[in-house]
Formats: sequence, C-alpha cells, structure tokens
Amino acid sequence: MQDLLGNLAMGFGVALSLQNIGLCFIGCALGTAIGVLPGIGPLPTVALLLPFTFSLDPTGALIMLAGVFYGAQYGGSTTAILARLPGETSSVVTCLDGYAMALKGQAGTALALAAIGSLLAGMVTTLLIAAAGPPLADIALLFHSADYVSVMVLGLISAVVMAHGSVLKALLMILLGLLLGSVGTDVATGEYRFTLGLDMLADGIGFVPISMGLFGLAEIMINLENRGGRGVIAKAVGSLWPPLAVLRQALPAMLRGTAIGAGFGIMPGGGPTIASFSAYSLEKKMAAQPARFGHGAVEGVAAPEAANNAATQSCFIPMLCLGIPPNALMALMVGAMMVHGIQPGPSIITKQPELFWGMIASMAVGNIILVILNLPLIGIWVRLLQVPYAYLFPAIIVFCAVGTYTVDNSTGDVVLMAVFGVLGYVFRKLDCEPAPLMLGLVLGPLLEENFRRAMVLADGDVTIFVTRPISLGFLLAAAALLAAVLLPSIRRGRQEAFRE
Amino acid sequence: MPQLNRDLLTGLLFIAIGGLGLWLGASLEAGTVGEMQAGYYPRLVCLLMVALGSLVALLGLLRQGELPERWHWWPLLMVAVAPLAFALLFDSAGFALTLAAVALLASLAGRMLNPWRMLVLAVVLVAMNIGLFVFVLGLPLRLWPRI
Repeated sequence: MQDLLGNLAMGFGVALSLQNIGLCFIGCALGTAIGVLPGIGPLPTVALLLPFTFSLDPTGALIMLAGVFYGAQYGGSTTAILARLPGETSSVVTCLDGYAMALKGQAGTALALAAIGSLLAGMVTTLLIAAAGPPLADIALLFHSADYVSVMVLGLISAVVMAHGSVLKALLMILLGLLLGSVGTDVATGEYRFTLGLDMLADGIGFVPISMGLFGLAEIMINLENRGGRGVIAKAVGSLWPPLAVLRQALPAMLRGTAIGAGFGIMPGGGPTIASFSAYSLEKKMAAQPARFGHGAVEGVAAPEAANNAATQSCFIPMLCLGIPPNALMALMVGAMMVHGIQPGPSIITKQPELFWGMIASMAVGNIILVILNLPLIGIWVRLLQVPYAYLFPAIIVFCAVGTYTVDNSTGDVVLMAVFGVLGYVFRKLDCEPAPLMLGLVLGPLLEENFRRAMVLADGDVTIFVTRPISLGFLLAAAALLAAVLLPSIRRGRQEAFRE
Repeated sequence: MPQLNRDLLTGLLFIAIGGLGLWLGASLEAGTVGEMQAGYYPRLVCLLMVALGSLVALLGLLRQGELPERWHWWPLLMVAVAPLAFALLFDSAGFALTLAAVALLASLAGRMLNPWRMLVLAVVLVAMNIGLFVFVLGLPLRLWPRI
C-alpha cells in the first residue's frame, strides 16, 4: 500500500508537469476532435497522429497517444448521442438509448451521464492498473519463451473469438499479419526475407503505412460509396445537469459497467467494443422493464459508456506488463513504444518507473480533462459535426500521405500505404476484418523470436509447450475458446450479442 | 456449377497469398525445429495460410454464399491515386505543389464539389499542412520545385 501510494505520487509528479499536462490536453482534444468527425475511429486516429509524437520524449509521447486514444473513444460517444453516428464500434450501443434520449430533448442529460460514467470508470480502472500492474509483471518475469509463445497464441485466438464475423477469416487475417511481420532482415541469421530487392523493406514493413492504408484510406473508399446516411443532429442539447433521481438510477449501472469493462479490457482479444455490448445486454437482462431499452433508458447510456472507458484503460495492463497487446489498438501503442526504443514488458516497471507510473497517473488527469472538454465545450464539437464530408475526406487523404511520409522520410512508405488501402477495400468487400491483421503484424516478430528460442532451449522438442504448466494452461484456455466458438449453440449466442 | 461467393473468393485470395509467400521464400533455408533458419517460420505461416484458405474456399463451395457487394471503382481508384501522386511528385515538385495535386486528386474521388470549391479546398489544405509540418513541427521539407 505504501509502495502504491509512493509510486502513484511519483507518477503524478511526472504527469502533472506543465509539459505533460499540456500534451495530455492536446492528445485528448485532438482525439476528441477526430473521434467526433464521422468515419474515423480511434485506430486510424492514433495511427495518424503517431508521427507528431516522434519528436517528443517517450513519456510525453505515450501520454499524448494515450490521450488521443481515450479522447477518440469518447468523441465517438458524443456523436452517437447527438447524431446517431457511432464514431466507432464501441459506441454503437450508445446510439440506441443515447439518441433516443436526445430526441426527447434530454441530450444534455445523456452527455452528462456518459461523461460521469466515463470519469468514474476511468478513475476506478486507473487505480486497478496501479494495483494490479506490478504483481502481474512479477508473475510475467517467471515466463519462459515457451510460455510467451503460448500466451501469444492465446491472445491471437481470443482476438479471433472476439472479432465479429467469420472465425476462419479472422484466423487468415492473423496469419497474413504474421507473414507481413516476417518481412525484412531475419534477426538471427541476418538474411533478407521477402524484401523483393527493395532497400526500404530491409527493416521490415512499417506498421504506420499498413494501418493508415487499411484503416484510413479503405474507410474513405467505403464511406464514399454510401454517401448521405447522416442522421439528424439533435439541435437542443438541454440542461447538462442530470436530475438527482436519474443519477441514482444510473450509478449502479455505471459500477456494473465499470466492472465488466475492466474485465473485458484485460482479457486478450477483448477491448471497448465487446465490453460495451456486454454491459448493455446485462443491463437489459437485469432491468425490471426491458422494453424501456431503445427508448431512452438511462442505464442503456450509463453502463456501456462506463464499460467502454474502463476497457479502454484496462487494456493497457497486458500491454504494459506483459508486452502483449490485447487488441489492435494496443498493438499500435506497442509499435509506438518501439519507435521510441522502449520494449514493453514486465521489466518496464522496474527499468522505467517514471514512464510506467507517469502514464498511469496521466490517465487520471486525462479523464478529468475529458469531462472539461466534453461538457462545457460541447458546442464546439456540435459545430465540428457539421463539417461536410466532401471537405473532410480530402483533408484526411492529404494528411495520411504527409503523415506516412514524415515517419521515415520515405515516399516508398506512401506507395505501400496506397497498396494497403486497396487491399483494405478488398478485405472489406470479402467480409474480412482488418484488426486481427494488425495484431498479427505486431506480435509476429515476438512470436517468432520466442518460438525459436524455446525450440533451441528445448532442443527441438515441441512437447515443451505442453509439459510446462504455465504454457499448458494458456494453450488449454486457447483450445477451450476455439472449441467454444465453433460449437453451434454458443455461436448463436455470440451472434445475438453483436446484433442490434 | 458452384457459384462464386465471398467465402470462396476469400479462400482463393489467401491460397494465392500463401503460395506467393512460399514461392518468394523458396530460397530461404528452413533448418530443423531445434535449429531454425530464416525460412522455417515464414514457411510454417504460409503453409497454415494455404491450408486454412483451402478450408474456407471448400466451405464456400459447399455453402450457398453471397457475392461481394458491388464495387465502386472510382473512389477506390482515386483514393489510391492521390497518395501515389504524392510519392511520384514529392522529390521533384516540392511540398507545396505536391500537396495541391494530392488535394485536387483526392477531392475528385468524391465528385461532390465544383471545381471552384476544390481549388479553394486545395489552397486551404496546402496552407494548413505547410503551417503544421514546416512551421510548427519544423520538419525539413523542401517547399518548392528544384530548379
């Protein structure tokens, strides 16, 4: 306990420096702005803004990127409530009751509930990370390379199970990510692999051009097909102070949402989307009159908003402590850390305590900034919502091109981005989700390295994966998940969870 | 006659990617499990991809699936062409003119703006990006064409 307080104090010392508060604020504001704009979710937002952080020190850069991430997540909820436009998949359920409330003239109440729920969930989860991080990292230090291989397999399998759509296609996308991750110089032998004789591929394919192409450009191509389709923006926001009775009704839902969100965030493959869907269906099941849901039920806004914010933050735990990103966005954060020369993993807490605790404390700071940004300043975001897409998307394309170029001053990367934009379009037409690919891309090199090391240590004996108890446990969990999702009865339940 | 559908096409696409990987990586030595060389892991991934791709294709053949949604070639083409123009022009034309070209090509993708508005948008975007990347971030980008 003493330790925890001391560490948090150190963290706040870092997070509350003028520069870091500023960066956190800029991150949150940029994230919210881009999250509010239709058609851009947190993933491309973080990818887009990544190049801006290269000139910062690592702690500042990560604080800003984390701010962008939860800012964008939050911006999506604002548009979900005001315009029935989910900025990203995790705020889809907020549309149902949030927009219904807005139509009834209670937009202000809905926004306030979302803000309070997120703040509460964010604070609780921040404490959870601070408390659970170090012991988890201690456990992770016991891992051998074979155990790492198995936990990564578990992570990849869970990503498949949690993704909506075909399990087999998600597996294929992961494999493609793993293959793309092997492009470049082989670390062990120094041989070039799949470089096609191009110098730019010798260091591997960067994840910035791939993510900008798959998520940024492909998104625009799809959006330009289904033009129009914008909902009516709720005009009057109404009072931002929710009546006490409403708050009393919402508070238990917020707490349940926080618990669900924190749990799903830590789980490999989990994240905000599945958390908010689960929280919503739980509230609906628990309610005395489930029929209220979809017509402006207070719990239907409070619970999923708390859940998605809790998950947004708790998914940092496996990323920071194990070095294993539980979802595609955390994979991007791992990439960002590596650009700054930091290898996420159990040793980060002891080796770079300022970075670890500073980042955690900055999440608490960021949550407060978000409330300030989103309640008093709501008018700005409403106006931003009205920017026509015809002006918006050329700006995004120009920005993608310049952003990708500046990462490495390479025009080749820009070409690569265009190629992956087209590929992303094709994948979408074939119902293949691109997120698992990113996870495979980032985990691939780690997986290969540990696989090879494990095999060298075990002298080529593959049974090592089932004779080591830790590894066996992870593999059994992965097998159980895969079996569960392939069994028809459970598959039906999963489809139901993703409907609506 | 089996019908083309999304699953079948997906399977075929990934069989092709896996096959391409195997072909490109054919010269890499695989080594043994105990002492893996550069080729072992990529080959394993490619083989898995071909196997799984075949399964998806087979399921697609057996099941009655949907065809992919209609393709819209124009946005696909233009959204890809705009960054390609950046890559092509940047070294010779400099930042300002390149961005103008990219912005114009990009706004063509939407076919929503008249030429006058496109021009204004392009000028605004060029100014914004130069302001941000050159003046605020101080990146050493050459603004004008090499003479």
